[in-house]
Amino acid sequence: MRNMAREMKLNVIDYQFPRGGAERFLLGVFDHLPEDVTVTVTTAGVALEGYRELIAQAKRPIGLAEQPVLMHQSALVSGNDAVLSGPQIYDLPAGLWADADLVWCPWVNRHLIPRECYSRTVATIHDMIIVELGEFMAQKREPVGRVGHFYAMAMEDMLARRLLGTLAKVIVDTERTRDHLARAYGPLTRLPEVVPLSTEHVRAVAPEPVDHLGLPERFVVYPANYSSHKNHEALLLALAKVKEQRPDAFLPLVMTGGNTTLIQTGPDYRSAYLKALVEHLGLRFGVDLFPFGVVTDGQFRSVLGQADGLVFPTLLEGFGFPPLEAGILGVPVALSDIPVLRETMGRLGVPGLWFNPGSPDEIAAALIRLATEQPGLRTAAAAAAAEVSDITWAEVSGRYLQAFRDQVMVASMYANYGG
Amino acid sequence: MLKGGFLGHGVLEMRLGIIDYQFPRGGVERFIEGILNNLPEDEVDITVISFDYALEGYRDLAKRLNRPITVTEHSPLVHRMAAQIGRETTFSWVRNFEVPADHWKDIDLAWFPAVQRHVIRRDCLARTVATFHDAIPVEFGDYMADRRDAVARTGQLYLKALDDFMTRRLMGSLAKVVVDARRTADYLARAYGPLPRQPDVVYPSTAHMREILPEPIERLGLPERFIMFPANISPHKNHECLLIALAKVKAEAPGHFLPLVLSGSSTLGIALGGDYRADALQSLVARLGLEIGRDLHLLGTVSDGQYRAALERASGLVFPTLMEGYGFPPVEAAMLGVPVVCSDIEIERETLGRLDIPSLWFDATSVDDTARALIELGRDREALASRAAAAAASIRDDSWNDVGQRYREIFRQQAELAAFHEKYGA
Repeated sequence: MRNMAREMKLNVIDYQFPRGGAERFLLGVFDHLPEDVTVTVTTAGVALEGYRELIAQAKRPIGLAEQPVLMHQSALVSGNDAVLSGPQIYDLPAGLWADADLVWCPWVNRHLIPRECYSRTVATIHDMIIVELGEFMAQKREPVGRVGHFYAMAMEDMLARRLLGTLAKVIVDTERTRDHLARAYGPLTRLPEVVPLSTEHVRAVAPEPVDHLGLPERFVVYPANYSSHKNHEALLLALAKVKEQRPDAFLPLVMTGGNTTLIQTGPDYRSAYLKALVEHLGLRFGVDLFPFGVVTDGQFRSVLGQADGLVFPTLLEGFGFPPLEAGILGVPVALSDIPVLRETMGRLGVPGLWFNPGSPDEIAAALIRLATEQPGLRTAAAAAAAEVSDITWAEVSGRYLQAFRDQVMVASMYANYGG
Repeated sequence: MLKGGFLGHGVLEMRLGIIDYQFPRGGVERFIEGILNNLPEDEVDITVISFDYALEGYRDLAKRLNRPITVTEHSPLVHRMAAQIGRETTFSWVRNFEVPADHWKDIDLAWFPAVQRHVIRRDCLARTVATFHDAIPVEFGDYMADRRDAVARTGQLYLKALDDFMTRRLMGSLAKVVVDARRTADYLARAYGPLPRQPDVVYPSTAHMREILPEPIERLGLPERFIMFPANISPHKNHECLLIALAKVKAEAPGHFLPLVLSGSSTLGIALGGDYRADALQSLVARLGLEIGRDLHLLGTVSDGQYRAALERASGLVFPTLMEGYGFPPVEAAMLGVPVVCSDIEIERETLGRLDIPSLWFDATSVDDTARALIELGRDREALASRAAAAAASIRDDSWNDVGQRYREIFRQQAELAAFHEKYGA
């Protein structure tokens, strides 16, 4: 390390690059780091293109190093047939730490870090959904997907266990995730630090035309991919229940998010299951249900602005942006009564209609309220929105910078006295 | 389902399914044979469900048993692990077996005699007895992974993660878990507890050792005097430390040096090389200046009779292992009156202690201490041999019949629990 107090060579190692919130988070942190922090992103494979695009959008210079690594992947074998399955684990060689003062893994979950490199590492864990809901999610997959899911669950569990027992600095988005890690992997030598994500960008997104989407006159929206922890099943059951029992209070459901269009055609196991459920419940696409798939930020803002409310029946989140985005824009929210959402909504004082996501009856009751208490809910949401004041991305970046500098000190002390 | 009473009453049948897709040879084979031979055929109907090479192992075993068993072939879904670099994909050695629920359809109870590597459905755990021999892949996972090539390393880490996960769910379930030693029970309670049910400790028997007939070993070309280490070359067996200690004794105390005989699968690899682990040990031997055929004798796998004959000729058995689930060899040596020089680890203190077996203890993470023990054995071998012979006369281990009786009782209790759970619990 050159000048410990100021200059820092930061190597950002990430071979996943999950799209969506990930890009916003990385840009938010990168764009506000001071110039004396030299940032290089080390990646390869599918993540490389994502980082190229991200670096083009960044407001500061960022180096990009393509460095393929060994990947671990599971497979299902039946007789002589073998099918690769599930996510990859990235086996990081110690050489990636060679020219850096510090390494930051912004999505650490699937990265295998050499033990000797932990003290020079800051690692962000956004969630442990794959481990916490692993068996639930595995049972909702076909055999090949199930194998991959078991593998992901076991490996992420092991990697979190070894990470949390080290001198690496771990950062999480919420107190709920921190508490889970402490409970599941503790006692911990160092508690993870909570750095909340910012919603600053939400108001800055310019609405874009959505006429081509063919939105119904009134609707509720659920923005989520179709992963089983998003709990579309319970929402669809609740929707059908409202349609049958309270047709006067029925609002169609607009679904945005990755793979939601597949629910209409059912080409894979999960979408076929949801399609069959839709048919069984007598819900009709284009009348009761509008799956739009991925939309742009501007389109989403427009959809949200026209919605009677946002419904969010998820079983678990690492942070849970959508209810906050809706709350900030003054859109009523009906959402799962789970600790992480209580925390993120409570932090900003965003009101919500809370329901038990395991109860279609409670979700149905919330949907009815969104339809029938509209002027009151919207007024309350708008009033709350006017009061929302969130941490900025500059502040988030500042918190990360401080964590980076602290960890450089730890690494330096460890190198001098600890090893 | 169960009919009437059970055990000792002779009026009741239990349909016991043995599910095992691994069939590890050696000690586990003997263990399964010992249990099955002691389950009366008029009380317990036994069906083995297996496939591939494990099926062959059970077919061989069935021929040796003193009671009939049915062996059926059933192909499970196999989970494997691959290493990828660029477009190259190579499968690693580890396999996990996903056991379908229909295996429980025509049985009252399933017994997994070596439960690791089997993915069991949650809804079947109440009708399951699982024997858990050790947690070495979890406890020593990183250590062992670091001593493998890149592809095998992915498998070792996968094994560690999956074994850990499967053990966690097993220990939190209504399945009955049986272990071979108190140390393993304590480890499971510490690592996965608090537990709803403590594992049962059923020590395996070593009584068979005295019944094994020695076989001729002239062709093995053993030296006049030697020490013996029977083990495969897995990293936790700790050949490195022993080889370095041996070289140290040869250099610093040649008067007390005894050549080392290594038996056990893959030990021939130390001479022949061929894989990452064998190559590493081969180069270590060369670097230490140990001469194969003089300082070091490599036998590979030998028959039980040859093993007994070799052991009886040895000046001592050395056992530098870092971890075991039970650790048969020191007990077997002691029963034959052979001095034991043993790694001072909890499990070995337990297994030797319960049978009052004397040993020279050493710290197996210390080359110096290992060398010290080897020198002591070389120097005091006659006195140690007298002491070991005296101790052997008074060793009384449980018989396989005793072990079988304990398992019968565990099966009975678990079958009752399963029936209760089915009626009231679900």
